[in-house]
Amino acid sequence: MSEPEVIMEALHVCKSYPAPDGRWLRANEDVSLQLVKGKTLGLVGESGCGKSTFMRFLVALDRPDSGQILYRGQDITALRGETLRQTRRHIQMVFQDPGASFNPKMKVRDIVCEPLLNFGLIAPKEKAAVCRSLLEMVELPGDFADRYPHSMSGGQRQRVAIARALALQPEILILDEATAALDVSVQKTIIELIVRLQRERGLTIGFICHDIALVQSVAHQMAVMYLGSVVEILPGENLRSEARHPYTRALIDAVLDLDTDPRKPVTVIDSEPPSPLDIPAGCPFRDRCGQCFEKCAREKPEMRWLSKEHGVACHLFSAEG
Amino acid sequence: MKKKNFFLAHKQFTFFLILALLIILGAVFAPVVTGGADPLKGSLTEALEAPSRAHIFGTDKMGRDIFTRVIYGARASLSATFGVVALIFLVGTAAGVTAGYFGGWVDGVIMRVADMMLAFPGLVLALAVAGIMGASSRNAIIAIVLVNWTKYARLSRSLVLKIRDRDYVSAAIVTGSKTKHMLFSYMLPNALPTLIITATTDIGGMMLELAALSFLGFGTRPPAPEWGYMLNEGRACMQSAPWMMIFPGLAIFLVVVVFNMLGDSVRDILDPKEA
Amino acid sequence: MLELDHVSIAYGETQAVEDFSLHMEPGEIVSLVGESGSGKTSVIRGILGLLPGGGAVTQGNIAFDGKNLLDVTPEQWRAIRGREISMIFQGSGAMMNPTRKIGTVFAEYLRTHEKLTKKEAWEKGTRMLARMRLPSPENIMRSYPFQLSGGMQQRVGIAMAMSYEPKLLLADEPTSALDVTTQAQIVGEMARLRRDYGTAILLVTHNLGVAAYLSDRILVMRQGRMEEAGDRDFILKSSTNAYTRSLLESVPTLGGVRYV
Repeated sequence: MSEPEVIMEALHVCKSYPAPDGRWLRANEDVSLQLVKGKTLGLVGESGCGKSTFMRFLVALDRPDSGQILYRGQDITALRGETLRQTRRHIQMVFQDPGASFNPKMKVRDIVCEPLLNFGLIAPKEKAAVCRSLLEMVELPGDFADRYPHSMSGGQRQRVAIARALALQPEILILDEATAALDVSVQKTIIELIVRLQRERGLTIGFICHDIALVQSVAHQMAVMYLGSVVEILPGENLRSEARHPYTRALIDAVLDLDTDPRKPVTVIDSEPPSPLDIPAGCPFRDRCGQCFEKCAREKPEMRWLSKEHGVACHLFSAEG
Repeated sequence: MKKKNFFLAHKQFTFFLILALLIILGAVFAPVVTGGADPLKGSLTEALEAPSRAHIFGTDKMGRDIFTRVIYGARASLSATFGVVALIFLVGTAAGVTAGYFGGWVDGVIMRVADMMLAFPGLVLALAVAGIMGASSRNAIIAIVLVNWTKYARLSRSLVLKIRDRDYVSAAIVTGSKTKHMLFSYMLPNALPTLIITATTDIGGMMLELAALSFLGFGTRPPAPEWGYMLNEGRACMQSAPWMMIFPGLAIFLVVVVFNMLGDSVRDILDPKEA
Repeated sequence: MLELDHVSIAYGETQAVEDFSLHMEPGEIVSLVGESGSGKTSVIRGILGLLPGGGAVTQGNIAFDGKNLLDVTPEQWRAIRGREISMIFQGSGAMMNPTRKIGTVFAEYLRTHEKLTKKEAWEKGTRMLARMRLPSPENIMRSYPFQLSGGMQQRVGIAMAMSYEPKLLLADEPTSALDVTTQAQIVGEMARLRRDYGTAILLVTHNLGVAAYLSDRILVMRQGRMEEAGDRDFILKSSTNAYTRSLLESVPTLGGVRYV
């Protein structure tokens, strides 16, 4: 089997925002992640974990305070102006809210063709034909070209968003909670579309989502974030049996899906998560972890690799080396 | 066909638009309207005559026909006013959109300059400028523009900020839109309707400010006909020759009302939910 | 205890619910599940007479303990809402006035339902929060809504709704705006309510996992009509209804179908 090709890599990304009372909101603390060609990296975490902040760095909508985001070896955080714009061709995004993703004054045809016009890849008179083939790719009928997105359903709008994102034939597609606002049956069809497109085009996908059950069904590799740090990275397969970090396990235990036994009491972490303004020293999870010990309060655990594909940032495993 | 229906549907707008056009045409074709009379020439023998068939608005203390001076005065007032509004609109919008879109130090600098201008009461600053640079129509325009551009800057900046963080703007950036495209196809179209309404409504206000400056002697110099200055001239003779103030005053009043109503109708069209 | 008989609800010209019937016994937990447009929210709001914007029950009957809920005076509503039937919403925090302390709002709520002085109401509120096992109830009473997390706000909402131990608790998407771990907490709370107070719960949710965990019975709604109704186990395991099955299949499950 060939070596997995890492085409995008985040290295030691840090970002903090000043809060009005003088404290600092530490959104990303030393985040390092990899995206492998043709595979999906799922990024899970709850609100305040920093995944949305991080996602914006991948598409260069924001810049981290320190650290690098390497696309094919080139640090996109250092790019500016036209060079940055040219690089954007390869990294595209689908947003969470289908109601806010589009300029209300633009028709579908204008929306999906705008990226191509931005780079001069098509002439204005070719818009109609190009639009039709893009709509076909996302399984929408050709006559949607003349419609406005606000007259369409949430699922249809997300298809238009996917068509727009793939118009430039990017290498990397970032999906930011792209199905969170959709009904569960519609979500399934959109996921199936995305998976099919990935297979056909060798797309590399970054899938940010709060639904751990959904992410593990589409991701080759998963990363779990908590309060700005990555606590575990592991394959999507056999998540339940393989997860080691106490927070990942807590997340898994908290999931209520159709297989959950209603007779068993819900396992909850009874405490509240600390505010990202006040992340405790040492391990961020320490006050809530059932297995925390003295070292956890002093020293923040580093990512320790249990195998080539499984890393945990927890002192329980640092002894194993 | 669609155009005609538009004008029929918006009767108030059409009515005041026609009136505004008549006023403008009257100013442009002043020689025709006044039958070739010279606003600067007057014979002292005919000074301070009450309105009559020969001089329907009467004459001033230099014997000049007031009707002629009022019509020619429209040229000065209208051209200066449109000049002011166009300048504050352009300068203010450019500054505000730039500040709102680019943020950071650009925003900081532009807005601090705007704040500085706001620290001075408008008319006082205009007087100071006119006083330092001398009184003339051009300097009056400069003075008023200096004070009033900030309104458009603040307005356009806030309109840009409202949409700056929306997903569709981020999407346009991610899909490779150039900055010029973002500014002209996304930011400006969002801000323009409100700005146009403000500008149309401001015509009346700016006209009054210009007239006020001229009245105080800081605007157009005599003997050029200008309504504000004519009011000043008429003030001394208010008891004996009231017509010297009445007609220029009426002219200002009418023109301001027409343009205000026009601005109102523009707002009703562009933003009906605010009606 | 609760009886909905061939109920239809419309918002002006638009039909939201058609021919919906439901019978609930005391202490039961029933879930209404469905996707957007299924009408489930209209049903639950219709019960308490809280239909927004011109909505009305156009046909059928709603009865609670024999009393017709479609024919209730404002006086009678005050005796029913909060005492016999209570409701909690998605995002209880957003419902609370951000400029007022939790305690103020809670005390006011209690004083509309019984004669209490401000001090007594405040104390009772604090006791309710303690009974619902919220940490530091005095602190919570003194806090503003924005100072609490989403989960905490929701728990305060539940405490308020449970103040008079209503027979029936209506829950409109109570966990939808919450993180997974917080959701688990709230679901655990709601299960406890039935265990400790015998409260019946009618739960509206699009989250089938939550419905599957909590319910005795599940009603599947689709475009205003009831698609299927049955015991929890039957719906989840033995349903032959095509829509129900496709809905269940769409729910991602840990250790279930994977695409990659």
